[in-house]
Amino acid sequence: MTWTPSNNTEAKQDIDQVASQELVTQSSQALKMLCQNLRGDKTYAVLDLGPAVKENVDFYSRFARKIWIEDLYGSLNSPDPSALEEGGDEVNKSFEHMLPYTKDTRFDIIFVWDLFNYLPRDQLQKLVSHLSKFCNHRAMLFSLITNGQYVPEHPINFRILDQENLSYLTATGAERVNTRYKEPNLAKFMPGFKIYKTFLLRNGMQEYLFTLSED
Amino acid sequence: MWKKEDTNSDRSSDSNTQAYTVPEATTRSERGACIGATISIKGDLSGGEDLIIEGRIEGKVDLKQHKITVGKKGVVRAEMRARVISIEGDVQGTLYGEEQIVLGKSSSVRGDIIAPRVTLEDGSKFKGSIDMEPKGTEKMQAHNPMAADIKAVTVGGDSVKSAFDQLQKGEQGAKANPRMG
Repeated sequence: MTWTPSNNTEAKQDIDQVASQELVTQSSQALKMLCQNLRGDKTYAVLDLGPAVKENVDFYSRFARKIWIEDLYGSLNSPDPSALEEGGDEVNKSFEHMLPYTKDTRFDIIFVWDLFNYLPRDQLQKLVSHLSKFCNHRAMLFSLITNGQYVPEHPINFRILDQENLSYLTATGAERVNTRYKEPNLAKFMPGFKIYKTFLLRNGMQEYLFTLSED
Repeated sequence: MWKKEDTNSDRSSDSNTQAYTVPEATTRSERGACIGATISIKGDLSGGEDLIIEGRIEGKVDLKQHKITVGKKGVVRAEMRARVISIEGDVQGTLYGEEQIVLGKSSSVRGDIIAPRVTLEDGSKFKGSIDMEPKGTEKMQAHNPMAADIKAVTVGGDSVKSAFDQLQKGEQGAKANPRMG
């Protein structure tokens, strides 16, 4: 076996990067509220726009009859070329292509996590407009918006520890400018949804529970 | 009009899509049958014993009462039915697990999963839906003490219907429940 110093250095950098990340646990009042409103005798349809996370799927499986896992950020950054071939409204086409649900699909709960921080306004509107077609009346949408000027280069992988606690690894390295959606305007960018409850966290994140309104 | 070429091409396509049944006598072992890394199969596969897939399969795999294991090198583009399905390789398709489906740490799965118990190991990549089925959900909740916790929070916290349920029915849940602000 040949030892190559460069590979070793890269491996060490990877280890250092992982080692420099810190596991953060944060209390989530929005998750707690969402759980408080689940009925034990009902099962729910859950959509998670984040990547597949073992703990989260385990958590959903306690009350969900069906779970969709989409990793939408990953799909947006490596879209299927066939989705964009036809031209026209590319963003909209790609949402319809990336999230192709049957007409009878109806979500009760949507976990967006911090994805909105990474979507420009028109993309956010089109995503929410697309999803609202597949939501039950008064479906709930859970989102984390960062108020700071910068956000990590990629969305955070949140893990649900229990009904009121989340954990994640702090991001290291590159950051990007935050879209900085503010509370009064945010609901305007989300056709069909209104803010149901919001909680400002110490770390500058703001938790939102949206609900699909009748209007 | 009858043409020799047509007949040949029909036979050729038949041979690509015919159903393969794993012959017990030639493949039985303690671990079950194995499709090696260099084997590629297009068509339907059924059998009466466990199956390990290290090669490539396109079509359908039906081993209802047995276990399918897709190894790290396995590539499957197929609908699979089995008692237990365990995946470490690359799978696209609809998976039906009578008891359980396990997505191992090196697995990459895209498609729909229908099983009463689904386990995702850390590192597994999955995109698609997981359908627990009504029967499976009941079974799982009965064995899952945390399901009772959620029920306790919901029912124990409020003697009235939960606000979420009221919201679902279009009632004014937020007003009815002071916790909802």
